[in-house]
Amino acid sequence: MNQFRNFLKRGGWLILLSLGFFLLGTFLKGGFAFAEEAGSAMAEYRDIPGIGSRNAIWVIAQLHILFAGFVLGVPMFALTCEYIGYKTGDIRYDKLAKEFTKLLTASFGTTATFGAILLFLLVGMYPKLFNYLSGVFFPTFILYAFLFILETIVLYIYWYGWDYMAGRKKLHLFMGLLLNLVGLAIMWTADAWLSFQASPVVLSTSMGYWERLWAAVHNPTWNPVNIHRVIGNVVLGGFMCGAYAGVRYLGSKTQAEREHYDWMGYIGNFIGVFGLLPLPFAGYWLMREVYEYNQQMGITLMGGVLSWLFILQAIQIGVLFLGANYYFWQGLAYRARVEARYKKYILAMVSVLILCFGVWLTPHSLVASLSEARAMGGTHHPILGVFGVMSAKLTVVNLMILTTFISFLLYWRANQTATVSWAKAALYFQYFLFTVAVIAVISLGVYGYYVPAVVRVKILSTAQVLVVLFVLITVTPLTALSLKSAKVTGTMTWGVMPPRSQYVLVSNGILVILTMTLMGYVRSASRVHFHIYGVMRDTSAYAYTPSVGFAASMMAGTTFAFCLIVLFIFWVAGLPDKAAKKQVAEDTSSKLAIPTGGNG
Amino acid sequence: MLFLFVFVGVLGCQPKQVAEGKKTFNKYCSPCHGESGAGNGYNAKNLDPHARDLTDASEPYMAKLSNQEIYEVIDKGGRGVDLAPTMPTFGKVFSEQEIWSLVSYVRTLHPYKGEAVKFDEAKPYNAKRPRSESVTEADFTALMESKIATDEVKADLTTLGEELFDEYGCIGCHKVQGKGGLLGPNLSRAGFMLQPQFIYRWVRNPQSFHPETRMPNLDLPEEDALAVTLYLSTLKDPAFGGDGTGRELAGVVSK
Amino acid sequence: MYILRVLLFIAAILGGFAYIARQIPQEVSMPPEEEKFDAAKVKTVDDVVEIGQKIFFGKGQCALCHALGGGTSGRCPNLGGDNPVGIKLTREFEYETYTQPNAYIYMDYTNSPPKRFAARMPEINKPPIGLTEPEMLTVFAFLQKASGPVEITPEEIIALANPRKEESGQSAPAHLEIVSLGDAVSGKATFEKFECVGCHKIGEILGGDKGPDLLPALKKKEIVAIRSAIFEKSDAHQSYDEKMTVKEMKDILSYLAGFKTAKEVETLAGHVAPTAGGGI
Repeated sequence: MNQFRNFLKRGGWLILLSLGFFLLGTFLKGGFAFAEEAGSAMAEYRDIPGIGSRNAIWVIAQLHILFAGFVLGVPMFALTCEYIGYKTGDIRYDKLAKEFTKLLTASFGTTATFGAILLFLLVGMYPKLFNYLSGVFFPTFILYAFLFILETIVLYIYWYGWDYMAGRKKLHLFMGLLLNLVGLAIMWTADAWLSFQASPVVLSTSMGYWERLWAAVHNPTWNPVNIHRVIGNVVLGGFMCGAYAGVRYLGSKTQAEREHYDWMGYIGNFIGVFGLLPLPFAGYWLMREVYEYNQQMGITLMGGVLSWLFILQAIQIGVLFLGANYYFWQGLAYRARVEARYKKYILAMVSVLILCFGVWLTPHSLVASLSEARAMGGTHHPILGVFGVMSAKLTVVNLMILTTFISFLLYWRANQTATVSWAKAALYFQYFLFTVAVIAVISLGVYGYYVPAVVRVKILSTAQVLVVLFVLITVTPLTALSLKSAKVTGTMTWGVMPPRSQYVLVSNGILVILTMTLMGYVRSASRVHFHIYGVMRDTSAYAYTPSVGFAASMMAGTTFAFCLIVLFIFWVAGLPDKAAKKQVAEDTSSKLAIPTGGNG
Repeated sequence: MLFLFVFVGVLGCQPKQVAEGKKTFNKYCSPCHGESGAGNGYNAKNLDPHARDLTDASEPYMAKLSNQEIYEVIDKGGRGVDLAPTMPTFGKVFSEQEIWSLVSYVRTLHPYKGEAVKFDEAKPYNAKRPRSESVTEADFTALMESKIATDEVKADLTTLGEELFDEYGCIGCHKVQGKGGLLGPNLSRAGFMLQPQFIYRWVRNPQSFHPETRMPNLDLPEEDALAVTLYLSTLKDPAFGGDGTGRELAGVVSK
Repeated sequence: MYILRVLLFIAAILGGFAYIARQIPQEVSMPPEEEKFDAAKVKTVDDVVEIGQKIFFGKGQCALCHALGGGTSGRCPNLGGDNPVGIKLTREFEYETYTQPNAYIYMDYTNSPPKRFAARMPEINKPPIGLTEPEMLTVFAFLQKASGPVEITPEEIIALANPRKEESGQSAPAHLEIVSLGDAVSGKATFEKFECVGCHKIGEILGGDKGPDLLPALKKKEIVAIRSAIFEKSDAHQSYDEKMTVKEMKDILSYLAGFKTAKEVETLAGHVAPTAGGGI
């Protein structure tokens, strides 16, 4: 070992590095050759009897993505928590970040495992498709592998070096930042492949190799998917940690544990809810890109065969909003003990939420036949009139977001009286802002019925989004400032939440996971009978789009499997702590034990 | 009281027309005359003579013209007022109101102390754009048959067409074999690309195909349009791409 | 154990979700039939246009970028509305656009200054789209229909689809036919494979005397005529229709077409083999 170190020190590192580059070069060159090789006769598809190749990939891919979403989302808020702990000196935050990271590290191996299984299945069962994708994307595969190695290294250093680097927090934080960046890069690389399948750019043979690669990577839905997934990962991570905390709370034996997990659940849920707020806008941008890229695909999604899936999504998100709000209200009732004061407001909010949910749930008329859509080439399509009901749906989404924000504000301000001189003015200003925002959102929604789709989609909906975002961005710092050195009139009691609130945390987590499975399915299904939309047809036995019921069963089953695996991982990850506690308890009891024998 | 009302009405209306004129100017005029009217639009360097400097930076040319004279230049084009033909004729495209709005805007580009353009609420200018007749394919076929008796006649008309291309100022906006403007498509391959009947119909009435096109209706008489069409139909130069630069095209199979 | 309760709760939510999903009208969506171009189906002009429409929206992938009237996507030229390509463009240019899309760079003249369109058009006759010539012609017929009268006849489509089945003496007029050429290098090999030099020489390229020197004919005649000469049976020349594949035919024509534009090659003075009537 020493000799090797010496070798490295004396320039051996340079030799190894060169060797590495040489190997890399050969790999890449081999990749070129691979790409240029004419397709020899090969099997196009292979099947698995019983489950079917498509379903197998569906389940494995879904599990991989769920784990990957978690593994990429957690570092974002773990780093934030650690940073808050570092800045404020409150060690609770640092401990929380570490607990989040413990979950992450435990899941990392599973993510990679499912990814590897997925790869094997893809290569083995869809060789025709994989051959094409390799031809286009091979350098990104190499990049992906390197990024994975990098992430492993950084994650290990970040987790295992946590306590060791306690004195050099800045370095540790930097590792956390690196972890996030590498994670982002990994996701964006993988996003190129799946977005290309949905929105391919036609690759002309007159383009150069790297030009083609970049054009394929940089396809129209790549960036919308990237942004949507970044935010989605945060939401998934947050709600899953909240659910974890909820389950641990239910199983807590001491008050200290209950307090800890109550607080952790709150933080996790908070992250989830606040990540949830911008998420629909990212999704909406994605939808717009799909429409601009290919009206046919857009219409299939929103007005055709797949439109029912969006109704299911509406149900999920509606229940999720109700759950998130309910959790805040429970917090008002049990932690802050101010429910009585806000009861009528809560009642009003519940009504608003249920009403909005109802509107969102209403299915609009569906397209009669796709052949009509094909006959038109222009923007102003009679079927897009259906999309016009989107005006109502976007309005209620915005209203639900505003309501949730109000719930949060009530919770935030509970048991605090502002002492700054301009507090009342700020409050009235906020009332005014909310009133104006609600009127604006509803007006824009109503106006949307009277304008052509293009105006509605491009101008009005954007305006609605901006109004809501403006309220969020203005009120938050305003409230923070007005509550500075506020008089606390009541205490926040942790650890006394009723079990049902923890079940809500669990259900929030489940619904978010279910939403992810649903939207992932929507994205895949938007390709209909193509592997690569418009370019490579699916000629296997599974080219059809299954019924909604079947798809929902697959999603529910996959989610349940995911829950079981996650429960197992989190339980296992908690064993060292349990053992340590047991050890401490034994040590203590042995110290306290009255020695037998000796003087009687 | 009425006078005050009208006075205010007139003054109050001015900015609206100026704003309208500005919109029209930016779309149709700024490519040659520039955003500020200084004659430095992106197409200006291809023009000979150069586009007029409307800001009177070097000499008070515009300030000396009357509103009516400016109107005529826009309405009849350079050709109609014995100036450079590269100033197109807009009389058949714009309404009276539009041209007067343009004039009122142009007045803001240079120092001017004279009478402003009057917009009378009581007697407004005609705001409807002139409509020219559409030209059909049958018209073209009939014209070809009646005018082109022999190959010699065709050859003469083609030569005439080449001259008319310069005389009507087409070269101001279109490039042919490396010379000309950037505003419209490069016509070096017009004969290869476009059907002759389309060229004829387009030249005679572009707005019938594309109401918002910048190509003006130059009010060409039938025979002149036919001559230009024949000339353009001979242009099949393969070396020039549509981006206005000369490019060697490899591997084009010439027929 | 509380874990069991949690799991049951989760199962209840998921079960509820699956139940709701099953209450929605269930529908399995089957993939559509793959379109294969069948020349036998072409009887009327409407047939041609219909096939062209299917290809435009289907395997041609044209609709991915091009709009046909209505608004523009800004990604590439609108093929209808303000820009009625059907009545505007010549067939030769259309063909060039399909096969060499970047030979002429289209600019967006609604912009000031004009700028290039965002998308690059791929070669339509090569993979992944790979339309054949009759298919391309049907697409153009569809575009013509979208803006005016259709000038393409079903007979032309059929003739293009079945090049070997042309009635002798009734090949389509040259200016209406799209002639696509293949690969000249392979053509030379094909030329040798069929041992044409056994009877023909081309200028200085040595060959037999049984048939005429090809060079003068190649310089003078149109490619379609040369094609007829090779593939139609005549007194002097056997038909190679059955012996050559379509690709070989195109390659040989490409090779021979090279001589049309080659610099003058001296023919052997006065040596022109007699032909027994007809032939080239």
